[in-house]
Amino acid sequence: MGKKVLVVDDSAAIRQSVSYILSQADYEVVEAEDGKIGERRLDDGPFDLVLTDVNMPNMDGIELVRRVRAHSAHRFTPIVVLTTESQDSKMAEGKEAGATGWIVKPFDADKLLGVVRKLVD
Amino acid sequence: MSASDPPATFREEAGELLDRLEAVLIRLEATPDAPELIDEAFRSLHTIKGSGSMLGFDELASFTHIVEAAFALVRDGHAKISGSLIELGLQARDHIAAIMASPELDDQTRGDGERILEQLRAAYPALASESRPQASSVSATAGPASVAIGSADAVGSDVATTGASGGETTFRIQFAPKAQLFRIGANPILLLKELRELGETVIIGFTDRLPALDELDPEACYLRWDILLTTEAEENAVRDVFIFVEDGAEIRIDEIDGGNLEDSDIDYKRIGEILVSRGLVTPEEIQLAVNEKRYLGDVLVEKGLLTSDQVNAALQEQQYVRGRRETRQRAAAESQQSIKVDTRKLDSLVNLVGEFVAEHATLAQIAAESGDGKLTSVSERLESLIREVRDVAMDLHMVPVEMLFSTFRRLVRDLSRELGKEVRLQLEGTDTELDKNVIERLRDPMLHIIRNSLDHGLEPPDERVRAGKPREGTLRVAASYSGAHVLIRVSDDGGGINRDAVWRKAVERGLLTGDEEMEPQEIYDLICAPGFSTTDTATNVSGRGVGMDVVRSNIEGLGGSIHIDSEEGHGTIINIRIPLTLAIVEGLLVRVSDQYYLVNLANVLECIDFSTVNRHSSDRQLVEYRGSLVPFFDLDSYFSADDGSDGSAVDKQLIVVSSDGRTVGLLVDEVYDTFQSVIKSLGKMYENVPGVSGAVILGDRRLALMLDVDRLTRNGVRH
Repeated sequence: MGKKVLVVDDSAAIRQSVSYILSQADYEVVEAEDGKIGERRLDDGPFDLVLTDVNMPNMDGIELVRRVRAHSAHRFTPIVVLTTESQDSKMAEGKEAGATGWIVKPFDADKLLGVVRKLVD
Repeated sequence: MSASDPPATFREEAGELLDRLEAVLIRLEATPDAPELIDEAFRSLHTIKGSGSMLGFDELASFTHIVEAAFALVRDGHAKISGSLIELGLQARDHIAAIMASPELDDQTRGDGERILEQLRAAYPALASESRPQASSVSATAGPASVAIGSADAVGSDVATTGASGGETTFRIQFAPKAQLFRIGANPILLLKELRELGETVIIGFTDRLPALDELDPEACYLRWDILLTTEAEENAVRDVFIFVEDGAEIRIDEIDGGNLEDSDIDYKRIGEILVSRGLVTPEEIQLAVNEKRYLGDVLVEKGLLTSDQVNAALQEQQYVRGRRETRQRAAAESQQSIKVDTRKLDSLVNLVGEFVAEHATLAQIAAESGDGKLTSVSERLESLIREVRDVAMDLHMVPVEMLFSTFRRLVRDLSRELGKEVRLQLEGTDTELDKNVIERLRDPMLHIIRNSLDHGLEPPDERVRAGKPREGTLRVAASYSGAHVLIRVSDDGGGINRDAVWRKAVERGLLTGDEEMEPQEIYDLICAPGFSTTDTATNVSGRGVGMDVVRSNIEGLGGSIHIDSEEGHGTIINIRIPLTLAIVEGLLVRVSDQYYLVNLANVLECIDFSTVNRHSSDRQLVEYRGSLVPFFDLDSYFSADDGSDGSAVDKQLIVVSSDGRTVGLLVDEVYDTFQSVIKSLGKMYENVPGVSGAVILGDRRLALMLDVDRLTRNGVRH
C-alpha cells in the first residue's frame, strides 16, 4: 500500500478533490473536517504527510500544526499548509508554528503532487 | 464519503454556507459587536472562495474574494462593522447564489455584482487595493479528473523540465541545514533525491559538524552537503528544490560550468580559486599558503583554515568539471568529423570510381598480354586499391531505408481514412542501408504495392470483425540484409489472394492453356506477368494485380526480383530483393558463341566442365548437382532461339547459378575471370530483352551483356 496522508479541510469539495488526486497517485488518504478532528485522526497514523487548510471552525490549521509538532509520536511528520494568496501573514504564522511546506490555492493536481513528492519518500 | 463529484459537492456545500452566512448576518444586525459572528461570516466566504477557485468557479471566487476582504478588515480591527456592510453582505450572498445557479451570467446579474463591489469599495477604501484576481483560463466544468485550476505555480512540480537552449549547466550547491531542520518535518535526503532527478550529480557529505557522542542531540541535523549538479534546468528550478527549507538551511548555488563551447577550456579553476569561490578562504590566505611552496591543501589544513574534507571536495569539483569539459570537447570534435556533401558530388564520385574500375580492366588485360611481371604486379596492386576506393565510395552513397519508409506513414494515414479502414503501419529494419539511387527508384513500386494492400488487401473494419480478426489491420514493411542484397517484405493480414481466380484470369488472358501444373507460388507470380491484369479486372481477384507487371519490371530494372505469397483469408506477403548497389557489380565473364556475357558473382554457385557432369538418365534436360537434380539450358540456343540441340555440348562449361532459391545450370562456351564493372543501361529500345539486364564495357573496349539471372532461373525451372 502507498504512503498515508491526512487531509484536513472543512470543505468537502476540497477534501474530495485532494483525495481523488492523491489516491490516483497511490497514496492512502484519511480525511478530517477540521483541526480538532484532524488531531484525533493522528491516532489512525502514523502518517507520512499532513495536508491542512488554515481557516477552519473548531481548530484552525495553524493550531493543528502546533499540536502535531508538540505530539511526541508525530512531531517529525511533514505538514503542508493549504493557504490562499491573500494570507501571507498566515503563511508566516504557519512556518513559525512548524509547517514543512505550503501550497497556495488554487492549485492543480501537478502542483499538489509536486509538493507531496518533495516531502514523502 | 459520498460518490466523488467535487463540483456537485461544492454546490451543495456552498448552498449550506450561504444559508449559514445569511443567518449570521441577520444575527449580526442584532449584536454587531460579536467577533465570533464576524469570524464565522469571514470563514464562510473564505471557504466558498477557496473551494470555488479550486473547482473552476472563477467568477464566483473572484467576486467572493472582495466581499471576504471587507469582512477581514472588520475582523482584524481595521474597520468597523456597519449596517451597510451587513446589507451589502446579504446582497452579496444572493449574488453568489445567482452565480451558482447559472454559470453563464446575464448582463443584469453581472451589473448587480459590480454595483455591490462598488458600494463595498466606497464604504471601505482599503479594498481598493484588492483586485479581483481574474483567475485562470479554466472552465467551470472541472471534474475530479481535472481539478486543474490556477495560474502558474512557484512550487515543485514544474521544476524538472526546462530544456534550456543553452544546454547543460553545472551548479555547485552548498547545502548546510540548520540544526532544527528535522523539527519542521523536512527531510534533506528527499531534497538530494530531487536534485538527482534534475540531472547528473556528485554529492559530497560533510560530517565535520558532528559533535562528540555525549553532546549529540539525536534530533538535530549536523550533516551538510556539497552537490555538483549538471542539468538542463535553470538556476531558478534548482533553487525551487529548496523552497521549503530556505529559512531552515544555508543554501548557496553557483554556476561553475556552462554548456557553451566558449568556456570549454579544459583547465578549470585551480584549487585555490575553487576554495575562494566557495567562500571558504580569502585570496590573501591563499597567497600566503602558496608562498610556502608546498601542496596548497596541506598548508591550508595545517593552518586550521580548512578541513581535509573541504579540500577534497574542491578537488572533486576540479576533477568533475574537467571531466565534463573533456567529454564536451570530444563530442564537439566528433560532430565536426561529419560534413554535409551535395549528393550530386557523391553521384559523380561513384560514377568516376565506376569508370576507374572499367579502365583498370583494360590495364589488367594489357598487363596480362604483355607478360611483363612488373606491370602485372602494379596492376594487381592498383586493383586492390581500386576495390578499397570503390567500397568507400559505395558506403558514402548508402542511406537508411528510413528515408523511403517514413514517407509511407502519411500515405497510409491518408489512404486508410479515405477508404474507411483502420490500419496500423509497422516499419521494421528502417536502419538498413541501400544505395541512394536504388532507394529513389524503389519509391514508385513500393507506393504501388502499399496502395494495393490498403485498397484491396486489408478489409474494412466490420468485415474484419466478422472474420474474427482485430478491427485494425496491420501492414508491415520490413527491410533486412541478405548477403549483397536487401530484402524488403511488405505483408498484410488482409483477405489474401484467391488463387483460383488468378488461375482463371490467366487462362482467360491466354497466359496459360489451363493444363499446366503449377506451384501455388508460381500462380501468385502470374499476377506480375505482363498482360495479366488491367484495372478493371483487379477487384475480381481480391484486388491484387493492378499494374503489378509494371512494378515487377521496375524492380527487375534495379537488378532485383519480386515474389508474392498469400494465404486466402489471412493475408499477403510481397518479397522484394534488391542489390545493395546499382553502380558496380562483380561478375564472371563468359563467352557464348561470339558474344561475351557477365554473370553476377553473387548468383554463381559453381563452374563445372560439362563433360564431367552426370545427366539424368531419362530427362536429358536435368543434371545431377550436389545430390539433387537441376534443370539446365544452353544460353546459345536461348539467345538464338534455337530448338535447344545440345550436340556440341561436350566442350562446354556449366555455370550453376541460383536466385531466390531456384537453381539452374547455364551452358556457356568459355569461362574467363571475374570482372568488376559499371553496369550501363541498355536504353529504352532494349530494356525489355529477356535474359539480359544491362551491358558493360570490357577492357578491350568490347561489349559484354549482363545476364538477368533472376529471369533465367525462373525460365529454366519452367523449361
